[in-house]
Amino acid sequence: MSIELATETAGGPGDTSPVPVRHRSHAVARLLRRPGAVLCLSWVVLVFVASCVFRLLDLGRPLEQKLIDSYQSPSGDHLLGTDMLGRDVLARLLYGGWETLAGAAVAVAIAIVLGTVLGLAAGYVGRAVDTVVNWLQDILITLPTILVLLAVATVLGNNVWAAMIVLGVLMSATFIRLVRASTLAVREELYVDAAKVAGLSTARILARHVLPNAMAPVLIQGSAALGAALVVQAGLGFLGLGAPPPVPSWGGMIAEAANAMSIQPWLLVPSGGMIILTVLALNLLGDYLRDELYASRTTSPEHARRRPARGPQQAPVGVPEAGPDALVAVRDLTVSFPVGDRLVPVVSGISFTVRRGEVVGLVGESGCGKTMTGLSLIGLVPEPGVVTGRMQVAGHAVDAGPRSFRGLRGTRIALISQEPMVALDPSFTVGSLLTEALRSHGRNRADARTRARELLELVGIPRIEDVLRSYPHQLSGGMAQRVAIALAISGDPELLIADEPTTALDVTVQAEILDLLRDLQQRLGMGLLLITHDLGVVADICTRVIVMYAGEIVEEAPVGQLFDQPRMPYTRALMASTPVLDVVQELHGIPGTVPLPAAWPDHCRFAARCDLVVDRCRSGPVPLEPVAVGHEVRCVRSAELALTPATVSLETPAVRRQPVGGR
Amino acid sequence: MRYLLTRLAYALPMLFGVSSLAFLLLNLLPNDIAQIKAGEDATPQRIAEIRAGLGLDRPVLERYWDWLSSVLRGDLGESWHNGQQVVDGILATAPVTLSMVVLSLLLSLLVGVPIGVVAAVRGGVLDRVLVSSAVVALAVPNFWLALLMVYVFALSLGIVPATGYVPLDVDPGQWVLHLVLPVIAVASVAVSAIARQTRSAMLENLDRDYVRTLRATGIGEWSVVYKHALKNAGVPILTTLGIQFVNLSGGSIIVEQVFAVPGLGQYTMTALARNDVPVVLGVLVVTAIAVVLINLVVDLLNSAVNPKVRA
Repeated sequence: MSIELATETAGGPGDTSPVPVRHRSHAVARLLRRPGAVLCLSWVVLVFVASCVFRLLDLGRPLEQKLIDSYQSPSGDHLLGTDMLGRDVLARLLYGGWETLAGAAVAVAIAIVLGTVLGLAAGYVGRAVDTVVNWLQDILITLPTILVLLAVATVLGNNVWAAMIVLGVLMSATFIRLVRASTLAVREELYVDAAKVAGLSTARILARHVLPNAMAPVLIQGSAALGAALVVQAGLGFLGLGAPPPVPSWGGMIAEAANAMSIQPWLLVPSGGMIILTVLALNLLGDYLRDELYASRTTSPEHARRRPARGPQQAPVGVPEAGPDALVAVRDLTVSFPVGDRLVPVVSGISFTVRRGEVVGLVGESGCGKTMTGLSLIGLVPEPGVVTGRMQVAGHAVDAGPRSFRGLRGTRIALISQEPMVALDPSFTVGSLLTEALRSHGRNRADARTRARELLELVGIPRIEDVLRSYPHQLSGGMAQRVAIALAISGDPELLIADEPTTALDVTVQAEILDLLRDLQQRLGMGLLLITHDLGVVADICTRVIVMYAGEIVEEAPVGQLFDQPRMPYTRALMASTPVLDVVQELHGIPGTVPLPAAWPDHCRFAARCDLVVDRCRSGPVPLEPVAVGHEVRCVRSAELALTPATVSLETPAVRRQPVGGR
Repeated sequence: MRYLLTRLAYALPMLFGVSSLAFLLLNLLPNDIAQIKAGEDATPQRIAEIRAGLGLDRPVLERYWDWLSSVLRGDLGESWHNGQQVVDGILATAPVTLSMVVLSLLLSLLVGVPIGVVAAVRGGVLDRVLVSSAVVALAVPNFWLALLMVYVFALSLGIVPATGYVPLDVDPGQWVLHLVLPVIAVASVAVSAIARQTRSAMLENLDRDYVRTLRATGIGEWSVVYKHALKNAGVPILTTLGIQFVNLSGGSIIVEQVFAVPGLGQYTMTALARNDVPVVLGVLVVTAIAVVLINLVVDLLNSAVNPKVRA
């Protein structure tokens, strides 16, 4: 299996990474490697082929009556026993299978063709067609299938094929919806625009570019629809509307079994079993196909749980040698995720301390493990992540398990996330969210209401009463982030972790939110751990900086020292890629990207992208070593770098700009 | 209120479309009802008489117009077989079916939602067992399950009656006993469908950022899962209730046959055997109206749960 632990937020093994549709030609091959899928496919093919053979060769035995042999239990002569007229049950099942299976296939074929044509038209041609097709689809969904088929039978009598054609039309509704959705999705894509510009005909664009995208969902749904059609078909047979006797139908055989229930209940088993197994096989095939075509998390039980990770069994609990003013102290913190059968670390053995009243910046590009570090401090690393190391939060030694964080979250340590618009529960008003948080911190109802208003005032929200009654989607991004901050400080935390709190916001709002954070930090005397990739922000409000690269701390220093004398080439590269207004400069992006966690080398992890790389860099792990008071660097050439001036020196306060590292 | 009106404005043309489609389906199919009713060796004169008697000699559009205008007046015509008003026939049988469908819907919610939640929250082996059971349950035809239950609980154990129906106002205890098996049979597929839906909705929601915020704020895990995530997961579950209602109605039509319950299914099957087109058409239209109304109710419920719809 390929390793696809692409970003620091990837929460699971490779096959759950958020790649929408996988390569189709490989999907079939992968499908055939799964024993379950092969079993299902074999069953369906076996039943279908056997049915065809029985019907085409007209092995007349199923219709042959032998009254002496009636109601026999299964035996060597009759593997599944005999029915009331002494006919072999297995032979009848296979003989009748043809109508049942072929009928279902016809229905699904009609549904797919009709659904595809109408879905393409609705998604591609234009508003008017779309409206009509949508309306039609809603009507088809509204009609109860069985009743419509009974109505058709009232007029046409027992006609399996007519019933299946009508069933196909009714079932097309699902396919219309699927094809329309994927057509709409593809329509706006660049390559379709390009095809239009190139003057390809509509039909050709649809066939070459749009249709292939719609085929995956159609195939998955088609498998399930076959199963559904089989059940409907059996239901009709049961009601006496299957193929006219003496030709057997699966549903009709269940009806016969029902009549003979007190004499030979066994007969229920083969007839029902045949339908159940076949429908089950078809449904499972659909599920397997979905698994292979989509990187689906929800269908596979292995990746079911989304709770925060439990601590490892051997979680070494211990208080590191941290001073009395340490809010958070971690030693050898490692966060790993299972990929295949091994654990791949995304944060490897980092140690740091945040003290009371301190503002610490945690910087680095995306994929360096900043977010996972932050989440591990509050016990919210998603499953199946594994956290090890020693940790002390607000004077309490904690193991990595969520339980030990229970009394700490909100009151000792709090978190603000990146995207305020999705960080607030959409189904509750701001007022009820705040009140619930406050009540969980031990306030009574009236007290919580008053405090909620105070908090909103504290975070600078105007029209407090309106906002209290608003749902999160009614707020702007900046407002939502203020509410999220109010929520985070509702329990008077001693340490606030802010994970890129301004990245998702408009540039103009970013400065306001940062000012608010700095203001609150000073007023409430909190410690603040600011996770960011924007050195401008760091220069602005931090007192100390920790630079992370590829899961490791590569440099740590007081903010002035870091900007005056960066000793690690990565820190210098980050600075060179940060724009500063009052310095005329060239901007240098850092070439290359952060390597994926599974590809981290056991020597200097920045070596591959470093301008100053020498052989020594690749000879083994580089330790983090102190170079001055409070200044530690992980670089074999840090001593030489002390002599050369930094490319850019940042004046504080610098003006914040759009970061370069990217998210 | 405004929302209600827009939904109504959508529902009315739906009703028109559904009933028109039903009428045209039955009247444009290439088959001569009069011929069937008259029998194989009827004289052409006899066939013509029957046709005139049923009004089938008039043009389709004219008949359509007549039918539509009387439907608007609440008149679904009368049975070709015994002259009974179709409305009366439906009113006599629909309550039985409706009670079966509503009870099954309740049962599938009461069982399906907790199963889905437990599977999503607990995970592990329990999750796998529940998911696999749901997959198997989806493949079992309800009438077959009904027969199996009749064999086990009625014929072998004798706990409940095998067939028949006792109205609620005659004997509530018997009413329940007679409906237990049919309702379970009808609900079986919906239970697993709703359980699957609930499970994936819960998983999706527990993975959302807002859940992390709630946990980080110190709100208890119980509230995070059962108050916040479940409420958000309720939206997609509610949305499928309309479709479940259609499926359950269809299911109960067949299951009624197993238990000889005198509901719409039996009414329809009798009419079918006699080629009684007005009855079948009437049942079809009434059911479709019921489905449209249910969808309307679901939409309203949805707007109550989901603030984004209301806005």
